[in-house]
Amino acid sequence: MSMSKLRRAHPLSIVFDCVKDFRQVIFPIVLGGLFGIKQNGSWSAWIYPMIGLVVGLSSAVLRWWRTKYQLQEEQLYVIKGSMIKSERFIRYDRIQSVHLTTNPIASRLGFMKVEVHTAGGKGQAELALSAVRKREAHLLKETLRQKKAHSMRQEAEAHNVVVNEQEAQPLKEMRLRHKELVIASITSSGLGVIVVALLSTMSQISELFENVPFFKAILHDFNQAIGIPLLKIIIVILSLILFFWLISSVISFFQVGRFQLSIYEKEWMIKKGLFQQTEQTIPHRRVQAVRLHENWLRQVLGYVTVYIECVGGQAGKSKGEVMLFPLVKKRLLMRFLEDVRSPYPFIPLKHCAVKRSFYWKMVKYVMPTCFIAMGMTLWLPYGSYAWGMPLAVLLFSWLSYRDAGLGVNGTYLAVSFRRTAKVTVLTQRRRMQALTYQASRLQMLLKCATIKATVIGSSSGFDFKVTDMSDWHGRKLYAWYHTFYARRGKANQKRAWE
Amino acid sequence: MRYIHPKAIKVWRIHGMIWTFICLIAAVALFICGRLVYHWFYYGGGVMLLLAIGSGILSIWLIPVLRWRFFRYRISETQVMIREGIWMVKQTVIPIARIQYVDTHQGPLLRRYRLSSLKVSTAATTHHIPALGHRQAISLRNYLADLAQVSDVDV
Repeated sequence: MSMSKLRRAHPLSIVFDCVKDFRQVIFPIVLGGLFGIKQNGSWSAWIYPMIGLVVGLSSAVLRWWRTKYQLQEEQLYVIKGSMIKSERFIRYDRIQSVHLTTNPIASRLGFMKVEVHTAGGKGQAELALSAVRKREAHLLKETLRQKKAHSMRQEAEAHNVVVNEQEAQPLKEMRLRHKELVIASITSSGLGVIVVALLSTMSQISELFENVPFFKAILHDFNQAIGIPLLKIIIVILSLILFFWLISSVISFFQVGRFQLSIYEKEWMIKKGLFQQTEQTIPHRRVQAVRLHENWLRQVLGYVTVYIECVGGQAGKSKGEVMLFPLVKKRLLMRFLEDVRSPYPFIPLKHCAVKRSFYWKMVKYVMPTCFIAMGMTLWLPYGSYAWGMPLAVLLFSWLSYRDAGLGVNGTYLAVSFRRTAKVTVLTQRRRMQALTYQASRLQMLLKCATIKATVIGSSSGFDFKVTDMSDWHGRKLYAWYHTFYARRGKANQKRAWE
Repeated sequence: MRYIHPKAIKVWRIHGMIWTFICLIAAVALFICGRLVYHWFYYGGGVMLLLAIGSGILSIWLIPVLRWRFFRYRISETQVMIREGIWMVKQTVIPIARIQYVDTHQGPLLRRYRLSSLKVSTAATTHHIPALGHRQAISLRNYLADLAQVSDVDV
């Protein structure tokens, strides 16, 4: 392809940039101005906001005018910077991803936003064009993809490696069914359903409080202590929780709506968003780990959310986690991972914590809270309700004891543990940047240990940790990691000697 | 496994002294405030004094020796191993194939004793070997940097 000419984004990007910049500040500016008028009775208060507006507008114009790009033979040439001019040559094989995003208005007008990311960009796009005609945007993305594939092929040919040609047609497309979308948004935060259940049985609860002597006594105590009927407080709290839960459901409904995962031989394309649809392409080789996330609600219903951790910047996100699929039936998980051609297979996990570690957790977490509860019972009126706290901690430590799991298959690793949700990480030995075996003196006494490993997430590492696993499992895992490299060392030495 | 340079103990002791000194000054200042301004400051001064004594015992006398005693490292052809921790014993393996940068650092105190610390970074983690002889640190750095360059990315 011959060298194309220097191009700019569509002038409409000035408007989009301005809207984006001012969306956050326009409200305080208007408010401030109005307030100023009220105080001074003159328009002078508008001067500063106006200056701000003019500066913002002119910087947007400048930015548009000076951001130019050119598709050259081997590299993308970018000129940018409104004040300080910077020129950059980006080799096509260094481009990690091209994001196309749009919002309802821009989409109606037929425009898209284009962002070009490289690995070193730290989440900042190397080239950002706020308004490009849809057809042009797709063309640009496709061209960049082809050029990248071409330069990679050349590279590979130089190294005598065969690279498969990428197919344009996806192998498979997966969508979220309506029922699943509803479940996904309802269960997005763990509090949801239980509150609904509670509210629906509210009348029974109030009956309970009025009739059963034990609850009646509690109610009486509480009324005396605070002076507001307990029931009212409970209702207020519950409805607040319900409100937040509704909001989070609606938000995730919009985020996950129209979710589509297209599976190609070597990459995934993820489209999502009900109104503002985003599109991401993720090559499989960028994926460092697959993370299965179950909050307790989904765990009860038997669903898993699948995330991937990968290298390189995502649009507007500093973290390297990307949702691969919002909702997967747990018993179909293995088939799902095969279907999407996950680079890391599911490995059956074995429980790896030992009973004594659970007892140790009881000493470490439950006992102190017991003391606190005891103190509260002794010194505070109605402090005996504080005993709920050690119970909750006990439940949590039992869950985290139960959920510690480990599975190894060749070079592949699967570990599970509990933070607030149950997390399962699937990865491979070569993706783990470092591994730490740690044990406090007390853990040593109890013959258990903590294993921590880190894989690359986009800006900082993503580390996963299985605490209080049995010493035996810990040592085995440590050996699995370290003897491999030690053996390689010996092999290298031999080769060097020969 | 090898120990780091024994002069590290001296450096850590000096660090501890500096901290203790700062605590002492704060305690004295608080006592003066208590005398001049408001007697409540005496309590703060007392706490500070206790802190200074405690940190003095721990950070000057006890911890440097123990820390040195429990810090060990090994650098082989394929991996860097670091073992550290007095109460929480951590043993970390960093394959050299994963190493991206190796730096040496030298603060004024370390320079005074001709020591250097080595910082080993992978794409996701950073690890420190706190005090090595300066020459040794530099040769290790060069050694690691050379190996890191030749080692293949995919295993």
